[in-house]
Amino acid sequence: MASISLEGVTKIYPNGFEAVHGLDLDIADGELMVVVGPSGCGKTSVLRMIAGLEEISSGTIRIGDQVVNDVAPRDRDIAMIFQSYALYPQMSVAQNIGFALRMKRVPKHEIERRVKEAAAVLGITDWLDRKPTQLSGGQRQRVAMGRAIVREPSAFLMDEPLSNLDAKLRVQMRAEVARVQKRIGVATLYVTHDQIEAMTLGHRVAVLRDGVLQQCDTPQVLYDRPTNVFVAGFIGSPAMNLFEAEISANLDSISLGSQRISLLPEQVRQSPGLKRYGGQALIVGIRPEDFHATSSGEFTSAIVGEIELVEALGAELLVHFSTDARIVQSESSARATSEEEPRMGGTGETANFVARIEPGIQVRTGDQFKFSISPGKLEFFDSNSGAAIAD
Amino acid sequence: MSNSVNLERHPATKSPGAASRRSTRGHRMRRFATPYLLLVPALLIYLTFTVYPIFRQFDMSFYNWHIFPGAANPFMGWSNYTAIFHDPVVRTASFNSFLFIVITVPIQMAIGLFAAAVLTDHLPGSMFWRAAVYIPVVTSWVVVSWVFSYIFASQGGLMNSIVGLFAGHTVSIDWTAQTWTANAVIWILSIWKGVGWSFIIFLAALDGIPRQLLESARIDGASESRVWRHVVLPSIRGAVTFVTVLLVIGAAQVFTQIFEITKGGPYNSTQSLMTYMYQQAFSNFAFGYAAALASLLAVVLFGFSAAEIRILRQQDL
Repeated sequence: MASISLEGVTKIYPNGFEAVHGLDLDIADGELMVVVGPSGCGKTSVLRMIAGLEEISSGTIRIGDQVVNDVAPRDRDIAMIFQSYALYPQMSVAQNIGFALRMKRVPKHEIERRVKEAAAVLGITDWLDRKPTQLSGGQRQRVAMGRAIVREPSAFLMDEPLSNLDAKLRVQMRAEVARVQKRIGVATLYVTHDQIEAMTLGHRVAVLRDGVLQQCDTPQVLYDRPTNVFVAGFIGSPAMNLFEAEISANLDSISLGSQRISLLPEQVRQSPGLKRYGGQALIVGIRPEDFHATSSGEFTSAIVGEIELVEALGAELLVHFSTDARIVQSESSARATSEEEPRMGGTGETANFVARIEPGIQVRTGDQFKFSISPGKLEFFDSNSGAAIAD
Repeated sequence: MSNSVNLERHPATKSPGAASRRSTRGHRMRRFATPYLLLVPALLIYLTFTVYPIFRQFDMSFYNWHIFPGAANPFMGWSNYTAIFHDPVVRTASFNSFLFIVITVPIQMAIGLFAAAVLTDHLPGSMFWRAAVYIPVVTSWVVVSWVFSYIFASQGGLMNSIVGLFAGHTVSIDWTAQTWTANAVIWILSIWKGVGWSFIIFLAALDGIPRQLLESARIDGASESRVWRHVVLPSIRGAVTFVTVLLVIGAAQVFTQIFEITKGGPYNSTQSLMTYMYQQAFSNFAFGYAAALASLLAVVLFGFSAAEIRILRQQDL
């Protein structure tokens, strides 16, 4: 068992493309670190460099106390689950699971014992004689996990292991991955583009963008206090509503298009940096669940919008509404819009907000509706740099 | 829906149920017959140019068959076949064909696989080398056989010039006039010209192995030799079987290079089954005997092909 440490790791491919830039990351022994980011952000390059499948251009990678920059993959004592599972098609499930032990010349009876043990943990004992082609996606995924855990590695790497599964199976296997990782208790790096997987699995989550680490923290901190517009837009589904606003000189209100919403003094106390922005433009973020369809006394701020679309999800309603405020389409939320699910969305001219409200409330497309805003739930970002305004 | 209601009420349709059944039967017939009708042209060509010659050749093998129209073709029974087993040249030709298979097939496969392994990575210049290895395949057997005849010619041949450089004096070895050197010339030519074919098959097979399988094996602790043994070779087993079978079938029918370089000589010592068959048919006009030889060879190769199909099917399971 060992930790994984990356110091100033950079990867530049022969064509000059810089996939990873000066990455510092520490994964403690037993920790499950999720690296998340949109396609092409460099997350798989990070994983492959740790595995030794890609050379690093500069920096240092340590597994435990050993610098492994020039160590061959087979000598790094790591296990890896690939997106395609990479099961050996000509071998049975048992042979697949025991392959790494065979390579280590572990005695046959010991291989048999450990394969059976791993199979029992994953509930795949009945399939040990089958070939991978005779298994479903979920079963293959379990075999791939069995192959990784049977060798008791120092570190565990997973490259989007659930992305080939359907939505229902993905939820099941997510829990399975968490259970297995907890059981083997080694430093684990899990790469995904799915922020829900990242939030549900990761002890900590590292958000990458264009090869640069944006933020690395616990899922809740990432959600509550994103360091910039990119993280704010990437973490959360639906994404945080981000729009252009102007804060009044005396910091008691912000204007969103033609509407003004009042700002509580405690909000300013939470983000003292706001004092530098009096009378200036900034970016304001509101999570969908911080809009409310009621107007009780606890809410001091509200915004009125025209209902564009109502999505009834059973346990909640997603209400898309527009105002004349200008939306900020962060790179991450733009990618989410194009890659994940089609959403009604403004492109910078008029805002298209999403509110997550309780079901049973009568909202109709075309109505003007007043949404209250949770006090103290506004996030503020610099309109030039996109960085969060905190201190 | 309204159409069907109108049809049922139409006064001219006395028995709509019977008409419907007739229509269904006609439709079924058309569905059944159409694929067979489409197959007819190809089937006719196949029967005329493949099946008929095979049966005609088999038929000829039981006669002392003459090519001249109207000439008597006495029935010989199995005597053409029994003669084969007593013919010393057939023994020599069979041995030469066997030796040709045993020597050229493994060497072609080994060189082809090695070249494919080296050139499978898209390294700078690999396209040039891929083309260089494959080019001999697309050259003419007759032309390269002539070229090799000149290279190994006793007077002014390139090989004698090279040997002469090392020997320090002029040499005039008659490479194609001695059994083993003549055979060696034929083997070298066949390997050089044929290696590109197995190379291209192996290259495609190696390219088809998912990169992640190899990476997974490396992470699992396999050295490069064990990656080849446990992952690469099992993954290209189908290609290896395919190349083996087709090379053996091709080698068993070796003809042009022997015919062009040695004509089966000296004293039949480089004859192959195909060259001897040709000689019997078109030099000695023993068409019945040649047909019997061809029939026997076809049976052997058919058995080999059947074995290939069985092996490939087993691999698909």
